[in-house]
Amino acid sequence: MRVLRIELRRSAALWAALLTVVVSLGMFYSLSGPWWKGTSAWTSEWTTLALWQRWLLLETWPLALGIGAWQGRRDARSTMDELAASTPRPAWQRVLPLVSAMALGQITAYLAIFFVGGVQVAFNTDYFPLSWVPVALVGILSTVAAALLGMGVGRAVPSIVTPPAVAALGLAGLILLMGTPDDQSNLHGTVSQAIALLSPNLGTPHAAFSAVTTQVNLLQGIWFLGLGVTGFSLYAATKRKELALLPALAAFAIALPLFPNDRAGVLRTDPEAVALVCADDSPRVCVTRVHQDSLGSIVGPAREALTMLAKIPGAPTAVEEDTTAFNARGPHPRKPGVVLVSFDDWQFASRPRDRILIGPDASCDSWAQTLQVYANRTAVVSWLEGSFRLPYRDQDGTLQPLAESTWNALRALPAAEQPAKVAELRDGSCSG
Amino acid sequence: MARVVGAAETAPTTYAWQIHTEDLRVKAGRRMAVNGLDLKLDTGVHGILGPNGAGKTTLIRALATVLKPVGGELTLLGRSPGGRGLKALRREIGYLPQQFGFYPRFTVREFVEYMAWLKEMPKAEIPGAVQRAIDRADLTSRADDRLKTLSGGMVRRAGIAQAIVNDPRILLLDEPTVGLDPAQRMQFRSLLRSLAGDTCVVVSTHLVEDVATACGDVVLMNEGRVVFQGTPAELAAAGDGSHPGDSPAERGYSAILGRSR
Repeated sequence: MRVLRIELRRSAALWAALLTVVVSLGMFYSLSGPWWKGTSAWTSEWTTLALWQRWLLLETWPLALGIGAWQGRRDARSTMDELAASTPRPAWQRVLPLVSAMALGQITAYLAIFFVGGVQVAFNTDYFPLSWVPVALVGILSTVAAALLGMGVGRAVPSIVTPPAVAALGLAGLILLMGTPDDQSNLHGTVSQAIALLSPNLGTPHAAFSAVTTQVNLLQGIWFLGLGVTGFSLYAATKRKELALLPALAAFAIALPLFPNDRAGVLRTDPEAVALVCADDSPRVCVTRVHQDSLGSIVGPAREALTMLAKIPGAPTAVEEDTTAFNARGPHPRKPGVVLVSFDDWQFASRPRDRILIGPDASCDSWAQTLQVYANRTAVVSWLEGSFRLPYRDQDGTLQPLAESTWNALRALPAAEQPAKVAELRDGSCSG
Repeated sequence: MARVVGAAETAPTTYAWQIHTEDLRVKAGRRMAVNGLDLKLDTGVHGILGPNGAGKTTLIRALATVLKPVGGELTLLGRSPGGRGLKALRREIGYLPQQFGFYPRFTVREFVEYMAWLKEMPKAEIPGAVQRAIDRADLTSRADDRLKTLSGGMVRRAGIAQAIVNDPRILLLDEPTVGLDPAQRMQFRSLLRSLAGDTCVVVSTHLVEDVATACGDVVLMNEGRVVFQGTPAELAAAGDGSHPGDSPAERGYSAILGRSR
């Protein structure tokens, strides 16, 4: 224990930890990126926190590799081997305090970043699944493995260029492997997408509803364990260093063929997270278990909107949260009689009542079509409310005249025909 | 703090010589640097003299169990180094290599403590033993300074401190006086004399004067063999005015080397 304390004080372990925390939090707090956006922000849910931290490894994993290599050069530079060879303590025991110090540094840094996010997550959600735990554990394992691997390489090749070289190579490798299978990885179309899972970075989290599959957690755990054991052996071995490569090769041979080849194999929908929680009484207003704490704030506007919509034929009678990722590619799902809403939709997040009145999203190819849809929907909202009002922001003033003429045309219809026309405008999608 | 003396330490020795070699052959790389060396060393301070390339460092490294002999007999404290007994034997050895490697960021105390740990000393004994070793190496005032801030001579003394921290029964010092100033050299000699009582100290040097004044026994090596073993007085007696040298010991050294060629 005393020697561990000495190594903690004299090695790069604590500096590495500090640097990792500064780089990670610096990145998150100095830049506004997708890590701050919507329901998959890094501070919104435990799962997104765990996944965003894995995403950060894109930078901190090569950093750990480089610092490990820097530390690993120490023994070769100091020529301590001669002295150590005359002592009774075996080589693997001799390196244990330093290896533990470096591992402790990495673990501390990982937990510190997690803590900073976790405190905020605790305030932002009351949904506490356990599926994030293995994701964080594999992340910790991967950084420890990176530090050990760096140490092993640094000792085997104790050149001054080794630390920057391994860090740069690590970064290049991770960028090459970036993305998840089936998700526009940089290796798209060249090799099996499963190879992307060799990287600790699992890609940008899309939604709070997902969980990493057990298969991927387990296999990545094996892979990084093998990498770590190889790093340790490379660092500790005094002879036959080539044998140290075996654990990593074995882990590679086990994990790669078993890695899933598509995104569905990596991220599954957490059924508990997407289970709907509904407000008491009717009409029916439901959100996912993840966003249960937001139910209270939307149930009022949602019911008000449903009541207003009751005037039109075939009006929806319920509001439900959309359980597919809002940012996912492809058309948004529709459900008859139900308004599907998403907290990632800024319009819903800021004005839920308007969003429900407006009707389902229509994705149009041209701006002219989109503008017409907006004008139609403006007429719908104005009709429902009884007076003209733009529910959209009219940035260049083109929407207002178009919407007014649509609204006037609607009002010019006989009163009996108006509700059917409103329903048609609200449901309609793109037209020329 | 009182130290508990174990039964093993007070038990009578069952062997005649601390270090005993017979026809010892050790390779340094491809070269047979120690080639048929016979040596018997008891407690006391033994100086190993010899020209560069005589095999002094290779012999010391073999005695430190770092190099494995390729032939002959090597017995340390009555045991052959190897197998299960090696660990126990290594606990009894103190070693200062010629190229003394250390971690520059460690303080003197941390480094000596680290070495004590490598020598598998009992945990409770370490702090006391570290302080004693630092005191004996006269580094007390610099104990908490980092090694990289020390001068060459002080680093050498830190090397001596780590070598003696485990109270070794065999102490191997390869060129320990390199970098020491005259006053430190004298102090070092008195340290050697104080160790002589129960330790077999082997000091390799190419400085004849070191040996003549500090050692009770002189071993002269040339080309991997022992060419002379005796007291400093016997070494001095081997030479006369016709041999090159500035002191009787140096003249004796020249005389014996000249004869062995």
